[in-house]
Amino acid sequence: MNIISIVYKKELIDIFRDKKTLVAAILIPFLIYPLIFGFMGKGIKDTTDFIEEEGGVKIALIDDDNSEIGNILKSRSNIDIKDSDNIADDVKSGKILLGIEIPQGFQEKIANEEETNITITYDNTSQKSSMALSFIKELLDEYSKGIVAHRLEARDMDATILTPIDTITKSPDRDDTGVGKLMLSLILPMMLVIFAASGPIASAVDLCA
Amino acid sequence: MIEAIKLGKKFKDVEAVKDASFTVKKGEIVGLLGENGAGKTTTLRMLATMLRPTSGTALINGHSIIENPREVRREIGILFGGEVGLYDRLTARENIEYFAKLNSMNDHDMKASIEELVFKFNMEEYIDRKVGKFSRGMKQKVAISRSIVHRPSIMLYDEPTAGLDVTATKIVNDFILECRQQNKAIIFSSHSMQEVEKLCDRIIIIHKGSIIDSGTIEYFKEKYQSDNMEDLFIRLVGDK
Repeated sequence: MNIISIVYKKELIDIFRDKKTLVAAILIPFLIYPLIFGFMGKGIKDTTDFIEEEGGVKIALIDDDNSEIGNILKSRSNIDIKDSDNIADDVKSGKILLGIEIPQGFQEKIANEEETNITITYDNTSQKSSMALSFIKELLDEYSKGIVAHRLEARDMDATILTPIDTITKSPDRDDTGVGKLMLSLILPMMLVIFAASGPIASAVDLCA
Repeated sequence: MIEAIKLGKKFKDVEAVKDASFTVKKGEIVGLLGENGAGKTTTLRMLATMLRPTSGTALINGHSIIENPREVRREIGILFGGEVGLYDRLTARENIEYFAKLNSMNDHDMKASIEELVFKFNMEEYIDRKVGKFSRGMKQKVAISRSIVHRPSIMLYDEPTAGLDVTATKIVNDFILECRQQNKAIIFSSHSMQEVEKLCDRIIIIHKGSIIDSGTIEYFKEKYQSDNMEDLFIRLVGDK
């Protein structure tokens, strides 16, 4: 047996006979980490769930033209339209998650195939506000694609030429546990590396000494 | 046999040991006497190949501590005082076996040697118990066993009785005398005059890293006209 394996064997015996090391390095991490990641997953899920709730996305909408997109937003059950005198302040204070301003002449410009814009005010320090922004952007993208499709149809062109690939996503796991498991899959390899590295540190120090 | 030839060790600007030359023959106990920080432990550590000398060398049974450290380590047994450096969570047997294996002993010789030591030091009751809860005396017996399990012909003792009670001190001292009977070459470092006077055949007095004199007890008493080794030592190092 060479010296390294003799020292290593002795170190392993020494480590595994130390109850404190066993509890601190093995037992506690195996009990605590699943709990921590479970809570983290639940916390993340809570910050995304509000989008699905009835009236969960509280926004202020300025739409003097009574535009089509404005009506779409009003018709969504998960969007709650609130009045706001000062959108920036209300977003900052959390009274509303977003402020959406549709300019005058918006609908007309769409009809005339001119370029136009929508201004969205959000709080980049708030996770909920950022999530709401993503949700609204998705709606606007969908609406925008609908307009493009309509314009292409008017020119006797098939709208599917713009989306040659349709991606279908599926997950074998339930949505409510998936996030926690994702976190665990990200952290677990790191923890294994730390465990693998921290175990032989005492032996390594002994060998070098 | 130990032969130190102008052995020196410098730690940055501090010369811990300067040109130390001495020999220790088989069956001889040589005491290394000096105050704390005189260079006793550094000298022993160099002889044990735990420290590399910055000048000079030493031969242990003909093997150079610089060129053949591995051979040297097989020839020597080391026993330190104070905390003896045993592994608390290992049993006494595992501690001794660990050092036997590090000294490349085969299983048969190792087991035979350990059984001898268990019998010799009456360790039957606790040889398979973890060392952590042992008394100082019990630990010292394990430490002694560990230092000689590979049957070295040279022993280095660095204040081996420091912190031990009377009984444990007697165990160590009896063991050192037994090593002499077994014809081992022994260096014994201490700052206890009584112990040195009782055990050693010759004394080397080391002060601030330099050997200031060496010889038998009689030589010192005659040369410095004193029967009291303690007074003599204080006079010697005080003069320097």
